[in-house]
Amino acid sequence: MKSTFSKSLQYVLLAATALLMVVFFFQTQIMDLDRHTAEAQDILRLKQLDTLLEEEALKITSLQLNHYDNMVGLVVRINTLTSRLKDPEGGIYGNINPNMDQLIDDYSRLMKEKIDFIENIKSSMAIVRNTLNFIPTEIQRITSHTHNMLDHELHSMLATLLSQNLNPSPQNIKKYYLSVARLNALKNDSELTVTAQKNIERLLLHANTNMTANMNTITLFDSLTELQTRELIERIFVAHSNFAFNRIKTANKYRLVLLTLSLLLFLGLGITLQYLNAARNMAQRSSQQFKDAVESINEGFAFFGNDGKLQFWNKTFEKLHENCGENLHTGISLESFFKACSASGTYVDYKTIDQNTTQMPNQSYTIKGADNTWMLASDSPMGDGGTACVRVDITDNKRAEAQMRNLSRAVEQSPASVIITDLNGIIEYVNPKFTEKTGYSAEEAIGLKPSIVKSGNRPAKDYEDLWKTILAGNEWYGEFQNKHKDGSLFWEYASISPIKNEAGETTHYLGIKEDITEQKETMAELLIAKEKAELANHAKTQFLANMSHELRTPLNAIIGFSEILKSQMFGPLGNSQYLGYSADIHDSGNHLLGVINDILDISRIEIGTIEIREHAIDLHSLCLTCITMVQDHAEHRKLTLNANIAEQLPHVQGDEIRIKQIILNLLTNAVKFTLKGGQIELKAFSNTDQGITIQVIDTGIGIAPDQHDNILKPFEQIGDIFSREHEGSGLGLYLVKSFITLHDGTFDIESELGEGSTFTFTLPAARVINNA
Amino acid sequence: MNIKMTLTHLRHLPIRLPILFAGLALIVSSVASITYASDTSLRGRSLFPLHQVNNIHPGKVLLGEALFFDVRLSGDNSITCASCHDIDKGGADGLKKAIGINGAEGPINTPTVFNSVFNISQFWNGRAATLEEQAAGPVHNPSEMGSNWLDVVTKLSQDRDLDAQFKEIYDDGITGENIVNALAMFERTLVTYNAPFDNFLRGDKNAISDIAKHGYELFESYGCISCHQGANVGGNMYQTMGIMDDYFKERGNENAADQGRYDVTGHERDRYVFKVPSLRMVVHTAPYFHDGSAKTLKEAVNIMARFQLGRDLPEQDLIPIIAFLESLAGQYKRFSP
Repeated sequence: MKSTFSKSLQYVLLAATALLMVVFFFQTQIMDLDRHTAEAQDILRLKQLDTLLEEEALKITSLQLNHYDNMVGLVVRINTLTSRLKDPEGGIYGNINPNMDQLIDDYSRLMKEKIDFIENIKSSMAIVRNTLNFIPTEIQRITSHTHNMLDHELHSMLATLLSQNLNPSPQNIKKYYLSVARLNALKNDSELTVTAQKNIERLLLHANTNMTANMNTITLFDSLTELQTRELIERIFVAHSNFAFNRIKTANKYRLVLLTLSLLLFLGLGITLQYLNAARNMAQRSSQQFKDAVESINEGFAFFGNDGKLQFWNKTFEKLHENCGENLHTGISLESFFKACSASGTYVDYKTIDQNTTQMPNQSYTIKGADNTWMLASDSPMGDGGTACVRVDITDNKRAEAQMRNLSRAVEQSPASVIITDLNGIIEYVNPKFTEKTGYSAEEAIGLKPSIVKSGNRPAKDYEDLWKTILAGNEWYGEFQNKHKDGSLFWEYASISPIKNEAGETTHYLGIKEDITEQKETMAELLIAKEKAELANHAKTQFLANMSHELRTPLNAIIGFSEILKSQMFGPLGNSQYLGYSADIHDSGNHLLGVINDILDISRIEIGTIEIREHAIDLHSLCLTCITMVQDHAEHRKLTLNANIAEQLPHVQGDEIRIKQIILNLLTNAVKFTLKGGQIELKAFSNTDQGITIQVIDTGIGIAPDQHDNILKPFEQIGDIFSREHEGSGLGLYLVKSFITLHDGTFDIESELGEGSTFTFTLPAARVINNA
Repeated sequence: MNIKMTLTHLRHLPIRLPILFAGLALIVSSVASITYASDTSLRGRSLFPLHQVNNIHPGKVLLGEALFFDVRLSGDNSITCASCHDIDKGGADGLKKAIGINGAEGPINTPTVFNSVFNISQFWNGRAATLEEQAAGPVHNPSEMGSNWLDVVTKLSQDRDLDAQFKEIYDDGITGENIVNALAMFERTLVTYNAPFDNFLRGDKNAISDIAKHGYELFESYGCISCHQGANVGGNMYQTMGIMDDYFKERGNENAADQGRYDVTGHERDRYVFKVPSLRMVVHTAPYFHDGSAKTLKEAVNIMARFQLGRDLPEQDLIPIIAFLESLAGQYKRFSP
C-alpha cells in the first residue's frame, strides 16, 4: 500500500513549517518594540535638541552669551545622535528605503549647515556684545571732556544701564545708582527749564523701571532655574526606560525560549517522522524480503488466502505447474486448482486428501505426474485460515533412487566379494559373494571385523602397510590368504579404499576381493618351469666353455704336428699324397680352432666373463692390416677389394683384438657372401657425431629385411640356398654385435635380398682420442 | 526585510541599552553641571569651574596612558604623543611649531592636551570632532609621527603583554580604532581641577588675590570673556583672528595654516577663523597663537586687545589680567583607579 503522504512531502512540509517559524520570529524581531522605542527616542531627542539649540541661538542673539558651553554640549549630542541615525547598523539608515536615507542625508547636511551658522552667530555676537559694551563707555569717556556735566552724566547713566542689561553685575548696579544720584542733583540746577527738569525725571523713571524690571528678571530667572523640572523629567524618563527595557528584555528572552522550544518540537516531530518512515520502510522491506526469499527458494510455493483463493505463488511453483497453464491464476480456489492439475496431467497420482484444507493434516505427500515426474507436496493451514502449499520437484531424487537400486544390485551380484566397514573396521555390509567365499552370512559378518577370515599366514607388516595407505586416504592393493569358516584356505586379490563424503572426509572403507587361488597355483608351476630352464641354459654355457677348452688342447697337437709334417721338417714325406693330407689336417685344425674360439667367446659373453682391454688403437693401420689379411682370399674368389680409409683418422680407445675381430669378421663375411667378380669396400671416417664410422659394403647376395634380426642371433646363418656352400659356425655377427656393444658403439645392417649389403658400425665420440 | 539585518540587530541588542543609559546619564550630568550656588547671578556669568568628567574606564585609561608614552606609535620609533604634548610643560612643547620625526617642523603650534576633553572640537581649525578623531591625525601625519595603523598594530602585536592587555579590554585586540579609543580615554583624565579661580567661583573669596579679582573684572569689562568663556575659559566657539585689524597683513607670510576653519567648512566667512583656545593652562603654554608668534603672555594679551577688541590696554591693566589668567590653571592629578 502506497502512502499518499510521501516521505519527501513530509520533509518539505516540515522544512516549510520550520522556515515559517523562523521567519515569524524574525518578523517579530523586526517589530522589536525595544528597538523601535530606542530609535524613536533618538529621533525625538534630535528634534528636542534641535529646538534647544535654536533657543540657545535665539538667546545669544539677545546677547545672552554665557550659554556657549551648553550649546557645545547640545551640538555634541546632536552629532552623536545624527551619526547613530546615519549608521547602517543603527537599524534605520540603509535598512528601510531610499527615501528614508535621503531624508536622513538631507537632515544631516542641513544640521551641519545649521551648526556652522550658529558657530558664526556665536562669533558675531561676541563681537556685537563687545562693541555694544565698548560704545557707551567710550561715549561716556569722550563726553567726560565736555563742559556740560548734565550731558556727561546722562551718557554715564546710559552706559551703566546698558552695561547692566548686557552684563549684569553688582558693580554696574552700583555705578548706575551713583549716576542716578548725580543726575537727581544736576536736574535741580537752576539753569534748567521746568520742561527740561520734567523730561529728566521721566527719563529717570523709565531708567529706574528698567533697572527694577531687570533685577526682578534676574532674580526670577535664578529662582526659575532652581526648579529642577528637567532633571526630574529625565529621572522619570530613565526610570521608565529602565522598566520598559527590562520588560522588553524579559519578553525577548521568553520569545527566544519559545522559538527554541518550537524548533525542538519540530526537531522532535522530524525525528518521529523519521522513525515512522524507517518503520514503514522496514515493513516494506520485510515484505519484499519475504517475497524475494520465497522467489529465491528452489521449492515451489503458493499461498491461498483465508477465503480459499490463490493469492501468491513463486516462479518455481509456476514452473512445476506449467502444464496447468492459465488455471494457475490469482483467485482460483484450492479445489479447482487440484482439479485443473489432475486434468492437465500435472497431478496423475497422489494420495487422496480431504479437500477441506482447514482439516488437512500438516504432513507431506508425494504426487506423481505424467512423464514420470514426482513432487513432494505439503499443504499447511496457516493461523489466519490460509493455506501454504509447498511443492518440491523430487523427480531427480526418484531417478537417483532407481539408480541406487541398480548399483546396489550390481554390488549384490558382483563376482567379487564386497565389504564395507566403518572407520573402526566394523563390517557394515557384505555381499552374497562374500558369504559364498567365506561361509559367513551377512547377518553373521555385520558387526565383526574382516579379520574373521584372516588365515594368519600373512606377515603383520602387510596389514600395517594396508592401514597406513588407507588412513592416508589412498587405495591399497594386495593379496591375502584367507580362511573359510570351515577352515579351508584361499587366496584373494584385494582392493581396499576409503569412501569419502563431499567434504573429502573418509566415512567408510570399501574392500573388493577377487578369488585368485587358481591363478596362484598356475603361477607357482610356471615359476618352477622357468627356474629349471634357466638352470639348464647355464649348464649348457658352462659346458660349452669347458668343452672349448678341452677341445683346444688336442687341437694344438694336431695343428702343430701337421705344420711340421707339411714343412717336412725332419725330411721329405715318402709320398706327395702325405703332403696334401697334412695340409688338409692343418687347415681343418685351424678352422676348428676358429670355431672353438668363437664358441668360447660366446660362452664368455653369456656368462658375463668377457672383458675388453683398453688401449689406444691406430684404426688406419688396423684397417689396412685387415684388408691385407683377406686380400688373398678375395683374389682367390676374383673379388675387387677396396679400402677407403680417411687419412686423418684419429686413434681410438678400445680392445684392438676385438676391433680387429669385428672388421675381419665383416670382411670375411663379405668375401664369403659375394659372388665372383663382385666388389667389397672398407670405409672408415669421422662421423658428424665426432665418433668414427666404419662400413663394409659389398655387392653380395644381400639379406632379406625380415632376416636382419635373425642373423644377429647365435648359430644363425642365411640358410637354404647357401647353407651347404658356406662354411662357418654362424656365430660371427652375434659376436660382432656383442663386441660393438661392449665398445658402446652402434651396429646397423642395410641390405635387400640380391642387392648387396652395407654393415655399419660406429665408435662413440667418447672413445676418440683427440691428438689436439 | 532581510534576515541579515535582523541578525545584526540581535547582535547589538545587549550593547545598545548601555549606550542609551550612558546618553541619559550625560544629559543628567550636564544639566546638573549648570546648577550650582554662586554669589553672582547665573544670567550674568560666563565662567564656570571645570566639572568632573564621567564615564571613565580605568583599564582603557591605563592602556591609553601607556600608548601616550609609546614610541612605537611613530614611524621610526623616535617620538611619542608626549614628545609634543609634554605633561610637564602644560601639555604642549614650548616650541613655536611642532617637531615631528626626523626633525620635521610641523605647520602649526602645538595646542595643549590638557582639558581638551571640554573643547568644542580638536585642532586649531576644529577639523576633528572628537578626541578619537584627533588621535589618529598626528600618527598619520608624515611631518608628525609619520606612521600608519598597519605598522603600529604590527609593532604593538609583537608585544605579548600589551596584546594581552588589549584582549582583556577589547574583544578584537589591538586595532587602530581601539588604540585611539584608549588614547582618548586617557585624555579625558588630562584635566586640571582645583584651579584657584574655580575655588573662588565656588565661594572661596580668598582663593585668588585682589589683583586677580581685579583682572577678572578687566577680563570681563574689556570683553575678553565674550570669546574666552565657559568652564574651559575658551574652547567652546570659533572666532576670526583679526576682527578689528588685519592680523595676517600685519604679521606677513600668510600661509596654508592661516586659513583656519575655511579648510573645514569651505565657507568664505570661515577664512581666518580658529577655535578660541582655552585659557586654562595659558600661563604654561607659551609661545601663543596658532602660529606661535607671541613669545610671552603679555605680548599675546596685547595682540588680542589690539586685533580682537580694537583697544590699547594700559600697562597697569596687564598685570591684573595676567594674574587672573594665572589663577585659571589647576593641577593635573595622574589617574589612579
